This record gives sequence, structure tokens and C-alpha cells, in this order.
Amino acid sequence: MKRSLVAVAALGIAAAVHAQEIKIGVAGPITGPLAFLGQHMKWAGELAIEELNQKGGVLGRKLVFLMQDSACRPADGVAGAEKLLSQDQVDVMLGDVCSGSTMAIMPVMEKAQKPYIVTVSTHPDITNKAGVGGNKWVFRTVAHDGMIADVVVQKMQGLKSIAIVGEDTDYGRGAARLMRERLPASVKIVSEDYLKQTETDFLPILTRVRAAKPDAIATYVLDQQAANLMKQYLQFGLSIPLVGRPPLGSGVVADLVKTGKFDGSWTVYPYYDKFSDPRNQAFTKAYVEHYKQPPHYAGWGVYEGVKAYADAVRRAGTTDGEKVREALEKSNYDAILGPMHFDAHHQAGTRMMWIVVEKGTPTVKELAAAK
Amino acid sequence: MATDPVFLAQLTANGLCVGLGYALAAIGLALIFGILGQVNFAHGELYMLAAFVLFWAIHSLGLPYAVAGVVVVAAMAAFGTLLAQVVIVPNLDRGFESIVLGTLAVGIILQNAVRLGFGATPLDISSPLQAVSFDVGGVLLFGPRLLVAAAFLVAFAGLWAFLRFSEIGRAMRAMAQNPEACLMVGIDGRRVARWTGALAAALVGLAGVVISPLFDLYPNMGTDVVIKSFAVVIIGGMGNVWGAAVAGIALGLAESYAGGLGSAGLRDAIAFAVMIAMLLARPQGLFGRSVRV
Amino acid sequence: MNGRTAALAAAALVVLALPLAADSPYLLHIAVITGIYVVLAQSLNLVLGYCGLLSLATPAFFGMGAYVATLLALRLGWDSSATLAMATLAGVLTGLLVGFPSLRVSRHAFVIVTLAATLLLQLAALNWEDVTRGSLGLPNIPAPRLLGHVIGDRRQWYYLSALAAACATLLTWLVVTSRFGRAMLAARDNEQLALACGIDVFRTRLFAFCLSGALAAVAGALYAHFITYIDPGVFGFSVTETLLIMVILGGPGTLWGPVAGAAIFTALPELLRITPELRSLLYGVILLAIVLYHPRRLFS
Repeated sequence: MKRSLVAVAALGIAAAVHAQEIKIGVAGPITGPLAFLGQHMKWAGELAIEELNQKGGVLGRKLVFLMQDSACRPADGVAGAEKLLSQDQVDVMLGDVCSGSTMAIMPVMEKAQKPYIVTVSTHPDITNKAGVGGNKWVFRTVAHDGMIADVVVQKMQGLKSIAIVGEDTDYGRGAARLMRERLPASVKIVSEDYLKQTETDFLPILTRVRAAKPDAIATYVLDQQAANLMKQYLQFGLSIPLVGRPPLGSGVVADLVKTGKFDGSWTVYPYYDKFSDPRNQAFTKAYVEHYKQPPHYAGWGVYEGVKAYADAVRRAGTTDGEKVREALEKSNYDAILGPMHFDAHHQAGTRMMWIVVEKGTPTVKELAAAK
Repeated sequence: MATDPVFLAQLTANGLCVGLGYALAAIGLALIFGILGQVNFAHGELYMLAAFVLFWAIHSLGLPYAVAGVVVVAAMAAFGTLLAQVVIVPNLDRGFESIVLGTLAVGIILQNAVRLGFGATPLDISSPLQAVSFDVGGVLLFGPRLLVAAAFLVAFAGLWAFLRFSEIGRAMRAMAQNPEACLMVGIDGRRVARWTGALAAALVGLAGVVISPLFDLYPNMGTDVVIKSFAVVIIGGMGNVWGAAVAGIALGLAESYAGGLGSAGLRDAIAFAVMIAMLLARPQGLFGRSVRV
Repeated sequence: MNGRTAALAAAALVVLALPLAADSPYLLHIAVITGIYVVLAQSLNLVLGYCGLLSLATPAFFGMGAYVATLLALRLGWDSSATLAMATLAGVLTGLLVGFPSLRVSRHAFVIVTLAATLLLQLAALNWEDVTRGSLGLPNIPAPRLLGHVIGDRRQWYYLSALAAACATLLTWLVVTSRFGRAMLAARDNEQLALACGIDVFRTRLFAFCLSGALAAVAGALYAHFITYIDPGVFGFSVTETLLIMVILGGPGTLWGPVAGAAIFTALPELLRITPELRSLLYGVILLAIVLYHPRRLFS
């Protein structure tokens, strides 16, 4: 009799402890062409909650990070989100990498009445459909493609001709289009190519660019493809700078950039791990200690997202969806890149990094604010 | 610019090198199609596996590239035999669906096993010929790509000799022509299947060894290879090795011109356009189905 | 009432009562997806199971249905009874377009032609940006409006999906037990003999193909309205992968095999979500194990 009482008590305590946990969920690409980014999201999330738990958690409660595979496919993302919400009872969700999946999950969050903090996807529509007049549960902590395009075009001043190379996704085409819309008519576009995300062969494009000799190549591909592009670029011995959004700060291309052959190339990115700011350095140091790799921008996004959420929960005094949402709207979270405020459309005015390659090293030349 | 001879020559050189790569990657698929009459849905993953094993051999075992390459091809041949024994042989008389699903499952397993084992971060293999390039009158020829072309020629010659002169090679050709007659003459279908599996895996493994240093490695890299290989096999003729060679080169050239003179979108479309045209006009492909060398 | 009918009645009762027992949005979501997959599975079943042809064209029809329904609903605001009808028509037309070239060639070539058709349509969806917005996709697809009534919540979706699944199965049964069905089976089992008996094999298969197209297109339309976002990924190969597994392991050429296959293989990956990292690997292993050690399928 005593033993079963103890067992029941133990179960009850265990249940109580578990009920006390704050659960943060994310649907992201564990498999698929962007598995690399999903990996960083997981690492970053776990690092963030570890740091928070070491300081006693939030409101005395421990945090748990749960991730489900979306493979960046909207249907899978929705299924993963549904599971996290109704089975695992997460208190909040962080956004996916691919804007398509993120957008498919947005209405699910509205129905579940839980906040959805988008930390990686950059499609402007997410902001347009959030906040006032739209889905009030969605918040975005990173600059979106429209904001980034403003800065990109600003930095393109002086260029007379460009070639455009992008991935054939909503990101590649969308971001390139936003840039083109803001580009003065005097700039000549010698070629415009969109390749599927899994395409590895850039020979025809590089051959054409070599012959056309534009002032710069506006690049809208992600890490894996950029590595292939830059590898083949080196073989051609080109010296045309890559501008726009090449992932020059990514660990995947670090060795290529070090060769010094990409000096003069630049990019406008939400984040670069070598940004020399003491708080960033503390973050990257912890990250490298844990995972042997510097944080990818997707990782930084999730890390800050978790921290911003924790901050909101502390201020709200509860994990109740409605109250946390109100707390987020009044956020002043001291992020690595500055205080995080959300506007009427729940978009944070987070600054972006203008990174220029000098002597084989990507250097943050400016923290550009959104206009 | 379009009429600049150097530009066109560069496109041609690129196209030939890429095309020979396609051909090399596709022969294995053509063999399984032609000899066993089966579709191997794990083809792309075999290519990917070879690349990752090569990476492991170079970085963990410290082997030089050439030695590692030989080791990988041998290992892939062994793996191909195993695969044939486990998935194909038991299902030889059971209809094609089982092998379709079986190879599909193997593909899923390989892709995820590699992702779990190596992580999703793209990896890099540098070929010892990385820095080698020749400038021939303004046209650049890259060492690693020439290696691919050389590998194809060697493989093709070797395959031809094997199919022509060896006993098992003759059995394979017989199987491609008439499986029922083979049974009557006493040719062991299971043995042929194992050898075909080994050969196909070794060939696609060789493709992986010479082509992967050109690009980064990641678990998903097989997907593109599979699509191109299918295109080559359709255009060249199911199971036809000569056909795969010609089709591969033709496809490489067509893509190079389309991409260089047109746009990347056109390049993607070309493969399909040629495929569809071929299927409508001459469904058996350029050379028809048979393992004729 | 014989055993068969009793079992069917019992199953129908379970299906009808399910939302009362499993009220979680997640479970209902899975159930709706299962229903859509049943329709897709029957679509493939017609061609693979009853005609014996390995078709990789299902995503082509699925995607066509999805895009046609979406564009009509988004751009023209049509009522869903109309968009579903148009999607069905699109499926039939695509079936004709793809069937004509592919059914004339050998069985092996058929596989590749159907694959090529799917890939080509995906390419078209990616590049015809004016209409499809290419890779940006089409978001905010409205909920279906059938004769004025909007399908608002998960529960209503569940019933709609279950109805679609039931209709697809019924249709399959009607076709298979008809004269055409017998011709299909004859051609599958012995093409030479069927031709000798005077069966127009090509016409029979084309009919099956168009029907298959219609079913898959309806599934596509439902999917679009349910997920509220589509992009050229709907033409992707992963749908085919899943369907092949469902139909082949469920039991091709049977009526209930694909239904069971759809249910089991929609549930399985979701069950495996308990191990998010190993999920896909386990899926592959289970699949291989079934292929190797369970030669007799579930329902044959």
C-alpha cells in the first residue's frame, strides 16, 4: 500500500513538474535541401534554453525546446505544428526557414491562440499579414526582404551594370525582384538567372558572365549553392564582385573567401557570427564550444527568438498566450543587435549588417537600420 | 557576344565535360534497366554514398585522393552486390513493384543515414587537380573536369571489354536480349543480377569519386543526379550503353548552349524538351533497348 | 445482411463517430490528410493495381487540380462546387494529354514518360510566373464554399474528406466491376490474349488513366483549400513515393487495400514524430523490412 502511494505521489510530482515546463516548439527542416539550417535552429534553441535554465529558468519554470520536421514543405510544416500544439502543448512556436511553410502555419497559430515568432523567414508578406488588420499572433524579429533590399540598393550606388543569379524559390526570386524594383533605371541588367536549389553546375552562367563583364553579380542563393558557385567562380579566375545577398559570412564558404579572390564582394545579411561585439562574441563562443561550428544566421535567429520570448513571459508573469502577446507588443528586449521593438505590423526594426570582404576576411562595415 | 568564337568554344568545352559526367553517372542506371529490366530508385543515393565514403576515406583514414578513389569504387562494387542480393534477387520473379519500393526504401535509408552520420553541413573535397587549368586560345579547361572526361572514357572502354569478352559479360548481354531464353540455357539469373548490381554501383561510384570534388557534398545531392540520369537513359535508349554515352554528351552540350546563350530556366527545360521529343518521336530512344556496346 | 456488409456498416459508423472521440485538431488534421490520400491512392490503384502500369504521373494530376482550383477560387472567386468540377475536368484533360503518348510505349518507357510529364508540369508551374507566381506560390486560398456553405472548422473538413474518400472508393468499385474493369484486368494479366479477344487495350487504359487523373485532381483541389498554400512543390516526387508505398503495400488491384495503405502510411510518419531526428530513417527501415519480409500484401 505504501509503495503504491509513493508511486502515485512520484507520478503526481513528475506530472506537476512537467506541467510546469515552458515548451517552445519549432517546425523546421530536419531533412531536405535546407537540413543544414534546420540543424543550426535546433542547436541554437537548445543553447538558448540551456542558458536560461542554468539561471533558474523563467518564472521558476524550466524551458524545453521541441522541434518537428517540416522539410520546408508547407503541408509537413502544418502537420508538425499541429502536433506540437495539440499533442505536446507548446506555449509558443518559432517560425520555419522557408516562408511558404511559415505562411501555411500562421493561420494554425491564430486558431491555437499562441504567439508565433518568426526568426528566419524573410518574405515581406509575413509582415503584411501580421499585426494590425491581420494575424495578431505573428511577430517577426528579423528584417524582411523589403527592408534588406532598401539597404542593398543603397550600397549598389555607382554600379552601372549587374548580372543577377538567384535560387528558384520564393526567397531567390522574391528578394531579387524587390531589389530590381528599387534599382534606378540607369543600371543595366545583363542577365538574370534562377536555378533550382539543388543545381550545382554554374558553368554556363559563369561563362556568360565572363563574356558580358558586368560591374557586379547580384547573388541570391543560400550557403550550399553559394559554395558551389564560388568554387567554380575561382576556377574561371573571375574578378567581378558578388553583391546583394551572397552568404559571405557563412562557415561553408569561409575557406573560399580566405583565398582573397573575393575581396570587394559584399552582402547585406541579418547576421554574421564574426561581428565583433562583446555580447555576440559571448554567444558565438558558447555556440562553438557546444557545436564546433560558428552560428549560422538561422541559429542566431532562433536563439534571439527564444530569449525574446523568455523576456516577454517574464514581463507578462505567465505563459498565457494572450498576455504574452501583449507583452511582446511592448517588447524592449535587449537583443545582441540592439533593443527589439515591434511596430504595428509586429515587425521588429532589427538592424542589418553590411559585410564587405577585405583581404580575405568578411568585415562588418555598418549596422544599417531599416528605413 | 553570341557569335564570339571563344565564348562558343568555351560553352562547347564545358558542355562536353559536363556531358561526359552525365554519361558516366547514367551508365549504371542503364545497365540495371537493360539487363534486369528494373528501375533503381536508389541510383542517386549510391552516387551520394560514394562521395561521402570518399570524404571519410580522405579525412578520417588520411588516404590520398587517388588511393581513396580506388578504395571507394571497390567498396561500392561490394555494396552493389549486397544490394542486388538483398533487394533484387529475392524479387526477381515477383514483379517490378517490389524492387521499386525496395530501392526506394534503400534510398531513403542511405540519405538519412548519411545525414545522421555526417551532419547536414555541406562538406568539401578538394581534388589534387583543383588548381590545374589549361588556357587553350582563351578557352579554359579545368583539371578536375578533364579527370571526369578521362574517367568516363576509361570506364566505357573497360565496360565494353568486359561485356564483350568475359563470360559473365556475355551472360549479361544475353539476359538483356531474352531473359526466358537465358533460363533455358542455364544462365543463373541471380548471378547476373549480383554482377549487374556490382557493376552499376561501381560505375556510379566512380562518377561520385570524380564529380564530387567539383561541388560540395550534402545528403540530398543524389536527387539531381537521378533526374539527369533518367533523362540520359530515356534519350539514349533504355539499357543501351552507347546510347547513354551519346545522350549524355548531347544533353551536356544542349544544356551548356541553352544556359550560356539563353538562361538558366531554358537550360532546365532543355533536358525535358529533348526527353519529351524523344519519347514522342522515337520512344525506344536513340538506340533502342538492348545492352549493345 | 451478410458479413461483408456488416463490416462495412461498422466501419462507416466508426468513421462518422470519429470526431466525437478524437477532438484534437492534430488528429483531425491527420484524418483529413488521410482522406485526401485515400482519393490519391485509389487514383494510382486504378492505373497501377488494375492496369498493371507503374505510373509516376499522379503528382501531375494532383498539381493540376490544385492549381486550377486555387486560381479559380483566388482570382475569380468561384464557388467550390464549380472549382472542383473544373479541377476534375483539368484532371481528365491532363490524363488524355499524358496518356496518349505514354500508353503507346513499352511498360518501362511508360514509367519514364509519366515521370517526365510530372517534372515538365512542375517546370511550367515554376516558370509561368504571371499565372502561378512561380516559386512564390499562392497563399491565402479560401476555405471551400460548397453551394453557399463554408467549410469552416476541422470537423467539417473531416466529413468532407471522408466523403471524398468514400466516393473515390465507390467510383473505383463501379469501374472495376464494370465491363471496362474486366477489360483492364484482362489487359493487365495477359495483354496479348486481351488483344486477341478484341479488347481495345489502348482505349481501356486511356479511360482508366483519365479517371485516375480526375480523382487525383479532386484530391489536389481539396488539398489546396485545406493547406491554404500551394507552390510548385505539389508536383514533387515525394507524393509519388508515399503513394507507391500506400498502394503497393496496401494491396494493388484490391478495393480496400489502398484505403488501409493510406490510413497506415499517413499515421506511421506521424507516429514516428516521437523521434524527430530518426523519423525518416526509421520510415525507410520499416519500409524495407516490409518489402523484404512480408511479400504478401495487407489485403490481397
